[in-house]
Amino acid sequence: MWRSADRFAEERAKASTWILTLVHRRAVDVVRREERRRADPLEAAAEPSGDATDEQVWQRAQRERVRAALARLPDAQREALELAYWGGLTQTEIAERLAQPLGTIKSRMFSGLARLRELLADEEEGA
Amino acid sequence: MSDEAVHEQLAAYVLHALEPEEEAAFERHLAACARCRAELPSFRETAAALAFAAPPVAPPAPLRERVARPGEGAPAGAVVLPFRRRRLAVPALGAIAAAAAAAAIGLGIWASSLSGSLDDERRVAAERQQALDLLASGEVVPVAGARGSLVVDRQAGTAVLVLADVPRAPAGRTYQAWVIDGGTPVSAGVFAGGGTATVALEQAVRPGSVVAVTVEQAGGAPAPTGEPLLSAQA
Repeated sequence: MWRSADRFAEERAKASTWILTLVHRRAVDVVRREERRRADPLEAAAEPSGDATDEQVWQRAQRERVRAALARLPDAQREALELAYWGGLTQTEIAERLAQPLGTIKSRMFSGLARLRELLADEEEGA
Repeated sequence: MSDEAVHEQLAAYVLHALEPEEEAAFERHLAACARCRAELPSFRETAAALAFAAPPVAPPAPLRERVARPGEGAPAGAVVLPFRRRRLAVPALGAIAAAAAAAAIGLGIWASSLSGSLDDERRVAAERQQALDLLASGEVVPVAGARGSLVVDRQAGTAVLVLADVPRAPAGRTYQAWVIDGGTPVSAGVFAGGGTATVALEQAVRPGSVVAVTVEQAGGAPAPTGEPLLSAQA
């Protein structure tokens, strides 16, 4: 059942994963929502200016770290992961789009994510 | 499907890339498969880390050209997360929320460019911007009694309650959120539960006020009748 807030606060890494998972899930749900309606025109926000905050510095470091790991994946694996994560596509849609058997896509996603996990872990140990 | 292919769907599961029926089937598999359950946390963590690789601004070039409007002078298609310097109760989580927001906006643009619809792209970007601006800029307050957070925008007085693993409310009952500011609880909305709940509170949340959730009759009650399941002080 529900866990206590204290424990939640202590498990910050897990909380981070939870937030990122939650937001990704909601974003995927939004892009898959069947009902289409017009929205207000997209407004461009100003670039953040001035000194980078600690958060921004931290985010940039994370970005470099994950991008470096992604770059080391075989292209086919990286493509499958990106279409799923950034494209919001299901494995079936990815298979159709790439004209590959569904089983192949499943294997690529699994191998790609497993390899990415290793690369990120190696990086942490080496840091 | 071969045995191995069943386990391999763990990747699509954590990437939210299963069709609804596949997802339900995989969750049944997960309940029975110790191997997949053991792998789940690290797979989920790895998938979540993809958020950091977010292209924060630039959609693919062809998309940028389509969005461009001569004479408007705005950076075409740019959706830049507004970073605001605020004191964050849980700084690391605030940064995570900002990353998550950037990732979600990036996803909206990416996905729309795949579907080739400018309207979709604008709609998604605008929705994400609104919903996640709060998440990115707000103050994150831990919730006692549940796994989740209360995200408060103190300037606007708005708040979102985000809760994980909320059991579905029993038949004929609902969860009801309350804002208690000075003594009398005021209803701030009802929700059904069943997985992750993101509840935009319908009442202003001022500093010091308490947000609580009870289980009430379907449709909600004028005043709380049950014990609070959780609470958070804004």
